[in-house]
Amino acid sequence: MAKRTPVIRIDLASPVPVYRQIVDSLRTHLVDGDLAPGDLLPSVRRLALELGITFNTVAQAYRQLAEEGWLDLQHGRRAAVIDRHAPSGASREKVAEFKRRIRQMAAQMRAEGLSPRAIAAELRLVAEKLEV
Amino acid sequence: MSIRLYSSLILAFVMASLHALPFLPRPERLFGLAVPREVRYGMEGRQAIRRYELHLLPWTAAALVASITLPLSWAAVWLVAASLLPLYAAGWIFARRRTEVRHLALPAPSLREARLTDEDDRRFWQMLSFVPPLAILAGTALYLHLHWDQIPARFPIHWGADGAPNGWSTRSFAGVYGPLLLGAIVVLFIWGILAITVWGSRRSARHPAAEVVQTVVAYVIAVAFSLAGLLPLHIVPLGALPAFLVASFGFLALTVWLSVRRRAETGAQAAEITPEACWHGGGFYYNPDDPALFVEKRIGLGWTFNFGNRMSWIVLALLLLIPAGLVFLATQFTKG
Repeated sequence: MAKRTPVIRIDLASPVPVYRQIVDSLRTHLVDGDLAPGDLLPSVRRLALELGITFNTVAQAYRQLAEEGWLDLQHGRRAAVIDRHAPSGASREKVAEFKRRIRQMAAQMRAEGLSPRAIAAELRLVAEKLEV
Repeated sequence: MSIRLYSSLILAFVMASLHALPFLPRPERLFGLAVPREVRYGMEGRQAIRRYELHLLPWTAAALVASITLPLSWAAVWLVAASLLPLYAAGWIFARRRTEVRHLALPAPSLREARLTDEDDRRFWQMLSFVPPLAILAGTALYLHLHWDQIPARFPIHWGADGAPNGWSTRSFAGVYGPLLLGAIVVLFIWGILAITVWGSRRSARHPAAEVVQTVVAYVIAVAFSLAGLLPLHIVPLGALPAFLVASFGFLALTVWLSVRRRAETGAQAAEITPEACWHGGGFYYNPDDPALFVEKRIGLGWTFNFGNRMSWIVLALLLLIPAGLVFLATQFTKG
């Protein structure tokens, strides 16, 4: 079966900056394995065109992911996914920050009307995916 | 009589196109506005279109009657009654219906999505389908070069209705290779348009059939100019012309049908939705925040420029300059 092309979605009405949304969405695809090492991403111009946003926003997102070690950005070539070696461990502050963000996200989901059961089910799905 | 017949036929075609105007764009469009599909096919959408058709009908009838009955010597009156007036009326009726249904227009969605593939970046370099038409022209040029000594010093290139030659050319570079050069420029021009529209428009704004049409037209032009290029050595029989035209249109229709069918099988792309505020009169798009050079037209078929993008102006200038250059070249080659 042919591999499905991953799709990126952004919401211009969201309070989260667009570049941040692109980074988060791409990172999710990278972590989930939808994008594998060697895969080529659309050019900055093409992705900006398809999303109807400025080139700089996409370029900023690509640079951020390159700094995190996910992408190889070479001048004159398209962004390529590289084999990233995950850091051996996050600092205590980082872990605390992630925990805080998860709690904030759950609170936001509750505030938007999602039931605790639905939120728990979603978090379980994420956890199960991590253990595979 | 034949002039009247031809002009009436052209007018009938134009009026039929104006009547078909509301049906040409995607189903999510109503008089140049982005609307939900159920609105377009709902009561309000159908009523608006019916009113447009009914209000246009008397103008169509009047224009056709004027075209058939007015004396040909009244050229200015004919032009107004059978051409300008119905066109103006159609535009006015269209604008009225557009105002009526404006409240149904959808706001520009804040959600956007894109496929994470480099397919569209690669396509720009993969348009090798234009190599064969250029090879046909180059092959004809090579054939002429190899048989240069057999080309007469003066040869016919145009024939009158009685079949007698009434236009001549000479054995010179321009006289022999001119048609091939013109053909190559036209093919490259079409290739350029295809490349720039693929490069500068969103995937959702494109229809594969449009690309197929452009490619097939390039092949037809290459063959037609090659046949014209062979005139110094071989006179193409007059009967071959209708056969060539029928074959060309048949080939075009077949490829378009295959392309449309393939699209229906693979699922149509979601319609491109551009902000309503950036459309002026439904046909003029100006959005400096949109990096697209071309966007899908709201009225009719095809693309239109994003006049808010500076690059679009450069492309437009080039598109206007190239045909002007072609006309200049054609006049140079046909001199004498």
